Amino acid sequence: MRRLLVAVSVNLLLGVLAVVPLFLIWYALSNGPLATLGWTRPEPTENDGMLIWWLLAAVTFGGFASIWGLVNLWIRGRVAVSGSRYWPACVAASLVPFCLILLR
Amino acid sequence: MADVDEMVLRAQRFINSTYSNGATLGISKLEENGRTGWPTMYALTRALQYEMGLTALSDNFGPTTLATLQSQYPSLNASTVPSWIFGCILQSALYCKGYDGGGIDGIYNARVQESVIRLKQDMGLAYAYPGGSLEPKVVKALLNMDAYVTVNNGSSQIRSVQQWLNGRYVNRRDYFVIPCDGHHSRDVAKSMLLAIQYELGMADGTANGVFGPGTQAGLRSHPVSLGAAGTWAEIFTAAMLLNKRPVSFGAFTSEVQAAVREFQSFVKLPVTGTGDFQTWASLLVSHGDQSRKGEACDGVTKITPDRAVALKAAGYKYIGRYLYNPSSTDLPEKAIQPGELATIKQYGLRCFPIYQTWGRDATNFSYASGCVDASNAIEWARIHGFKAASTIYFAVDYDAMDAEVTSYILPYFRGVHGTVSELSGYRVGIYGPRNVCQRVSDAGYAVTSFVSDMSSGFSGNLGYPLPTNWAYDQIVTTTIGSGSGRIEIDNNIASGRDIGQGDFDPPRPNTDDLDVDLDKGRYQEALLRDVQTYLTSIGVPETGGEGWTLDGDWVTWNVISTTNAFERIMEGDWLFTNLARALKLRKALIQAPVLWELRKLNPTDPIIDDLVRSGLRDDSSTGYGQIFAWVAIEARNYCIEQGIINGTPLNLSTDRRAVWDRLQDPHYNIPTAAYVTIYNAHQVGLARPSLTTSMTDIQLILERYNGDKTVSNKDKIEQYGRELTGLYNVLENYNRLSRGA
Repeated sequence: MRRLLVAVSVNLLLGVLAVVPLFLIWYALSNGPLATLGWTRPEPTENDGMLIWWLLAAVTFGGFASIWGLVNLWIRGRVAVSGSRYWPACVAASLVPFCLILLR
Repeated sequence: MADVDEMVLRAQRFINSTYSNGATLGISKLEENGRTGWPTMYALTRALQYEMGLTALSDNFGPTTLATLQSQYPSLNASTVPSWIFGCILQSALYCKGYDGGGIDGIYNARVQESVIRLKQDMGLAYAYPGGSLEPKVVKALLNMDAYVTVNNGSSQIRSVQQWLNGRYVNRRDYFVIPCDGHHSRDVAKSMLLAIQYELGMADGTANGVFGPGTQAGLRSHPVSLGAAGTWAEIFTAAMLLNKRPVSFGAFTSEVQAAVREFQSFVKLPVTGTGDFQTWASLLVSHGDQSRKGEACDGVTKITPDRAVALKAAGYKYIGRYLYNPSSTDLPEKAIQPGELATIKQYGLRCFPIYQTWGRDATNFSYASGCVDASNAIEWARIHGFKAASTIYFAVDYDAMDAEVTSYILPYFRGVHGTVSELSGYRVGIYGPRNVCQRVSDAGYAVTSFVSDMSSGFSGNLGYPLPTNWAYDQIVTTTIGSGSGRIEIDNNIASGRDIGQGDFDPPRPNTDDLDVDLDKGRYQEALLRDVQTYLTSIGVPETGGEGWTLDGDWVTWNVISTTNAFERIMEGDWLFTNLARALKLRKALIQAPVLWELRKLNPTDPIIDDLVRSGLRDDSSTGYGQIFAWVAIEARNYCIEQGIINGTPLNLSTDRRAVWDRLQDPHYNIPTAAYVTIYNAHQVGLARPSLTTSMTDIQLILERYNGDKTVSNKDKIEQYGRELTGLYNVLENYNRLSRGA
């Protein structure tokens, strides 16, 4: 359990990094499909299309996911916790910083 | 570096090592860069003076230096060069002039002699000074920056004239070797007058190169005509060549006669085909024969009925008058006075407008001041009632050097031309010296020239022919009439290229409520604070978004802060003012969307612009006002159709990329934002924005900047309009204070 706590702590820190790619995905969604559905209000000055934002989001998210995956594989090899517990906990921990900002 | 000459470098090292890094010569250490320039020539001149025992050293190779050289060393050669240092100076000078100095060893060797022979041939002195010795006037000519070979596309015919003058007159006391570079210049013009004076028999000391009464009287008795040969014909054809007329140097042939007729016709002299006094005068000095009666004049005095009668009686048809006088104290009648144009019309005269503020030195001229002056000139021309197609002469009332024309005058006229062409039906003329007029006209910025030829000593007149598009040639100040009809005028020859205006629209009232430049000293800081406070209140802080929330403003983080955006608006304040005045709308109506769009730039905007640049996209919202090229085209075309601006309608399929490129320039983008605003008012069914547009309508116009809310994104667009209207109010508060309202 203590070892899982270490992994969760590391993923909370990674979650701070995750804010950037997750924000970009959120920005692309809120100015694109979610705005089309009327669920969000788009940025008034955003009028050049969302393609570049999706590309940026994909590149930064890809980069982050690579780091996140490598770090967690390395930790996973050193903690005796089952995968069914380890991965959901780490994903949830990584989303916490972004969700906190989203809920403000 | 490619332009480093090893021998020039050695010459510079010789000066530094021989004269204690310049201290002995009273100069600082010579830069050892291997390039010939005035500093090196000055240092060599001082070194020569030092070696001759002169104590008061000077950059200038003046009369004392020449006289000392003439008395001590009337002919320098292998047997007379007094020291090895003296020899080194001469060798260094040869290298700096582009000739072989035979090394820098102080020895006047065979290579030096060969170079000196070639130098004197290039100067045209092979017969006057035969052999390989250096005469004092050749040494003087060696120690300056004049070229003796054709440079910068110089004319070989003009070079022949220069060589001929040198060869024939170098032994006269006050004649010094002139450049043989194929270009007319001040020195060449003076040497032509000296040549005439020598041929008239004037003694040394009397001949002075000035077009005075003696010279004029002499020329009256020396007309040249078909069949003439000899020196007078040679000087005359030389003068023709220097005025870029197609003749051969030498005899007065039928070819010369035809060219003379053409020249006389061009400068509006009686076409006689002979080299009479008036033709001589027009060839030799810019004002020509100052006793000529002109058909045009200009002045700083009101044309009253009595003066109009006097002018008419003296044969004048075209009167140049100033649109505006920036001084409230000097020359109270300089600007056109109420009722004056009606008088001009009533007496059958015509008027051509002149616009001048403070154009008496280079710093008054810039692209921005050109735009501002043009707007003011348009405004004043309309107030006075000048009709479309009138040519307004913008003044360059000083002797602008050629480099200043490039750096200051041309950008100024680019601004004038662009503004006048776009915002009015007027045409641009230029008042100034010949070179200035010709260069501005060649650049396409002026249709006709009003030439300040009266200032014959101006560098911009000396050595330059009359501009090809001259309309008025100002030659002398004179007084005509008597009693209440007495008036001092500048007498101008008219070519007929511009005949001014003989009929005028009714004068328009001067609109006092138009915007003016922001009083930055008093309001800029306070305005910035209020803009920041307002933007922060709607969730747009100095940079990025507000607090730890996921609002969209975070994407603007560290791109352009509120202060950056505001500063750019302030830099262009003159342009916003100009547009607001010309289009008769509130300045804040243009400022608000541009400031907002600048502040809202985000990292993807330049990426998308790059996609357009590389051809992967057709269009994007771009530049200061974040305007799509297709929108710019529609807005400009609408304004052209409505007669608000002038121009050729743009085509979306062929012009889109060119317009997109031009939108990168704030000087194009900001006016386009103004036209988009006018177009937007039309699109939402409102009247053209004016000084009295209601706040409700202003909000509707501003929100349309973001798109058509009847098609989509109604909430988003309305939010944009609300936010921009708040910004408009902040800006308008301070604009109102600046207008003193």
